[in-house]
Amino acid sequence: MRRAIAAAMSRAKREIPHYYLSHRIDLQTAQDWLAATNAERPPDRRLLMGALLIRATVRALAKVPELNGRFEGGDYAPSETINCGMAVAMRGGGLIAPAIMDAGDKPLDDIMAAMRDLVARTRAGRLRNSEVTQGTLTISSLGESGVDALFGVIYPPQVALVGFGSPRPEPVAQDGTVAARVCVTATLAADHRVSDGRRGATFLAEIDRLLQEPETI
Amino acid sequence: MTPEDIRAAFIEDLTSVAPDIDPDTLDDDEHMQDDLGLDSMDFLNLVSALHKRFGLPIPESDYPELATTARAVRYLGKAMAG
Repeated sequence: MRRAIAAAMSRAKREIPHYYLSHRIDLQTAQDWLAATNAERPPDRRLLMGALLIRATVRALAKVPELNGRFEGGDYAPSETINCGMAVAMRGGGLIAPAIMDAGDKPLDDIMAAMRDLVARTRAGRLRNSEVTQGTLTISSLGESGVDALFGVIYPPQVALVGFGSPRPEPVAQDGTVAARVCVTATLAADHRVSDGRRGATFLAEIDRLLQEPETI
Repeated sequence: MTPEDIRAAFIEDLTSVAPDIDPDTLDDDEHMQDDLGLDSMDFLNLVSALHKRFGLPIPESDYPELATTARAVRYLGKAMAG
């Protein structure tokens, strides 16, 4: 496992001119909506914040579609379907990023169901080949007990990786006062052969905007 | 159910979610996330399993009560006693 990660990441750092952007997103509205939604649901229908982050990222691609695609044989090919890779930590070490196939068409509950299924099958070692090889963008989310931000290495031949640090309460200036609100730092590592910082910034801003309206996500 | 029965059932569900945890060396005060390495999906799967087994609602606001095996056994016992 470590050897496979080393090979892919060495290739990424050798061939892909990465650029990086970081943006803090206020998640308090999304967190409140999630708590109210989950309060009405039995455990096996509850949503995780990770599902909202994936749904917002996938939807934001509509605005900056060139981040979704593959750079192969010296040419970039944008992808119409969104096969959203999701970094899953293996218990015992290492990680793998199988894709939620056709994630663009999936509403929030379907994203959550796909995440559950994918994590279970990753842990059981029962992934389909296409899920491991046909990703068009990857999301790496640290969950609850990690650090503030992660700056990812793009998984070739993809051209972008979105990272989410651990959501936690932070002081936020709002209407001239400071309030404690749950925030997350979203980062983008993207391929400069395909996009630039201006487009990347539009993308992170769109993720932010979508997360401020969780009920319509 | 006695606390011993609840503990055995809890550990059965925990090790089903995280099969690498060895019940023989598990310390009842180990933290689910910090010590045992459960992520948010593992924890939700554990809550789902406990919900099915015990028929308890286990709202999110009660999640801190499941932070360790010792706390979970007390919480589940109390919740079942009504």
